[in-house]
Amino acid sequence: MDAVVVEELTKVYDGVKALDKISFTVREGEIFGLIGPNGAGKTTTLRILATLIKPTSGRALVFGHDVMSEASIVREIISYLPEEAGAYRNLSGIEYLEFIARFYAEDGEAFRRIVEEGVKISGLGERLRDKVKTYSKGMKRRLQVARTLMVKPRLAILDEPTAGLDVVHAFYVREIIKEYASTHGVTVLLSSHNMLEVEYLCNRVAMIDKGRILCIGTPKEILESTSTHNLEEAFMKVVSNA
Amino acid sequence: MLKGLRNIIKKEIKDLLRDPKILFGMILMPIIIFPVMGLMMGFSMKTAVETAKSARIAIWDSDGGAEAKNLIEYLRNINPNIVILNSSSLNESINVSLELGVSSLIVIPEGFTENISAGLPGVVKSYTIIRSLAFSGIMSGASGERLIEAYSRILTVRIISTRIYDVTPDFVLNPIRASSMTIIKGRVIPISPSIIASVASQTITTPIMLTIMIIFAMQIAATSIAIEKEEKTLETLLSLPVSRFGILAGKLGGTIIIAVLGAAAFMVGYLVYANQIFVSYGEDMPQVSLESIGIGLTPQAFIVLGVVIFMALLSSLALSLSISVFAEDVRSAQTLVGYLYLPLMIPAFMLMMVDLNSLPLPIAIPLYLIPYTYVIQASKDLLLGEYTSSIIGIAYISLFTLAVLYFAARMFATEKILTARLRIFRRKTITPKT
Ligand SMILES: Nc1ncnc2c1ncn2[C@@H]1O[C@H](COP(=O)(O)OP(=O)(O)O)[C@@H](O)[C@H]1O
Ligand SMILES: [Mg+2]
Repeated sequence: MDAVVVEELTKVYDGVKALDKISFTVREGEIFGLIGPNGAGKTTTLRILATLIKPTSGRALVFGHDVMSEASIVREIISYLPEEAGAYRNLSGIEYLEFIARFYAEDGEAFRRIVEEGVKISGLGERLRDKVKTYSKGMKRRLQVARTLMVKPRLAILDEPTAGLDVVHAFYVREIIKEYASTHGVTVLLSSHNMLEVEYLCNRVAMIDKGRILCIGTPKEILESTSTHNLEEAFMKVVSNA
Repeated sequence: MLKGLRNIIKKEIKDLLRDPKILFGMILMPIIIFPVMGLMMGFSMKTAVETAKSARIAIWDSDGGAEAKNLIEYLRNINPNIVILNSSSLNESINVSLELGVSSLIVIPEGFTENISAGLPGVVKSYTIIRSLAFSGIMSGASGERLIEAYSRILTVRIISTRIYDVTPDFVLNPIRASSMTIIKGRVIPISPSIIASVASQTITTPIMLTIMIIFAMQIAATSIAIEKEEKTLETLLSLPVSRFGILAGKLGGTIIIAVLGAAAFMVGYLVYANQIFVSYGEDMPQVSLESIGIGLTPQAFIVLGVVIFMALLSSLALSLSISVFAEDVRSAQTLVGYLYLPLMIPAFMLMMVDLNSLPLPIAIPLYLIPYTYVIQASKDLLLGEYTSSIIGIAYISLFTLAVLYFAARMFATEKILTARLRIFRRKTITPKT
């Protein structure tokens, strides 16, 4: 079964057409990247899949469940990392992980396992005992990535997981996503405006601009079809052809 | 659902109580400020009274007659800090008084004894020296004047009893004795209505305290959603496997618990304060309690009042939660909720003065629509054992709250909560996100 099926999805924010009939599918177990410049419609797409906003027309399924009519089932399956995500300032990192884990855990044992996993993924060690407000931007993002992945969702939706991070933190986050997807069979749908990152991380990518999908394929397929050397060049070429 | 709800309530309380503004403003301040206020009031009242009692008074007796001697004798008995001046002129007396630092100078001019013996008013001049405009400064200065008044009454009694033979001084001073009764709930009570009014007016502090409490709780409620937006935690929260109604209920629950803690702190602080004030004013207060004159809350009425108050609190919180859905940040949310204070307070102030039933319809109808009206009306009616307004109130506020909660839940379920961007104080209204 496909993890995500998006058909003719359109979103209009009072007058602004953010998505214009986009369609794509994400297969189970793959890391799928939505790439495109700012304002392309990536966040809008991911928010619709995360059941936060409603499409104007078209439909979207997550493991066969409609994001509109079966929103609460979809929320059980996914774990969503927003583009800008904060944690509660007055809680410590570990308390935040526990807060999230409680929504997913069936019993005490499961709860313990989830939190343990979160601690491991974050790699923040003793700093988890400190209040979130004392964290650097990179630490906050690692905490967010940890809380998203620790619950072992069937689908992880990550909106620009490395945007704005320094090399060290960005590298760490990328490695974690890659490792997690391969060892736990989690399907990942992520967005990025960093073409090179996506080329490294994703099995397949969709290039999106001004609310339309320009091309879909594995990085290799796209490079071959556009006869370019990297996705950045490929994107520029596709945009100028469109 | 229940698991998520409990989890959110727990998080809210933890997060709120660790916020120094809330911890201090809502819980510590009332507990600390009120008793400190009471202590200070008590202390300064006591100081003022003591300063007045021990004030030093100078006397210049230029009369030298028997009546002057009597007056001085009387003053000496009452106040041991009397200084007798030996000056030759008024100017000298004033200068000496200033040097001595006394608070007043009493001058008995020549002819004082002669006048009184001849049945004419004797003249005494009292000069009050004010060095500071503080309460205690003026009080101690004025004590010379009061002493003379007191002596004048004594003299009246003496004159009546020595010169008028067929009446008693008491009769001359009080030829008519008014005896005031009050009929309340059909019972005759031998107490003047002005005393009852002054005792009953103390119950006004309850609605005022309540207003403050509710305003504070509304601020917390408004903040609790806005802060999720400001700190960018809302999007995550909305994508978790918990229903929107669960989130709303959790926020409401957390705020209510904080509000109840705050109310308890307020009560404790206020009781300590009231106690101290009572002790420091204590002696002059009429010892009347509402219960002793048959006005009071039966345990049953007390519970009903509690329910009315709780419902009103709930409705205000629901209202501010749903309004704050539209605000983009904490400041805007607090400003928006601020617009609710006026309608909240109007009934409190109006109904303290007049009764709801005596108001003309065009004024009464809008008042009937405000949930808070019923709290004030019920708190007055329940004192007299009237339950009707409470029952109507509870029914109306329940409907009102349900309607507001339904509206809030609807707002929460739509994407408005993420896309509505009411921002106050900033010119930019819609910033398209990229
Ligand atoms: N809440 C909103 N109201 C109005 N327009 C919006 C809103 N959110 C996004 N947009 C518009 O929709 C388009 C796509 O935005 P977005 O999905 O955030 O792009 P991306 O994530 O690719 O940078 C942009 O033109 C943006 O201005
Ligand atoms: Mg975006």
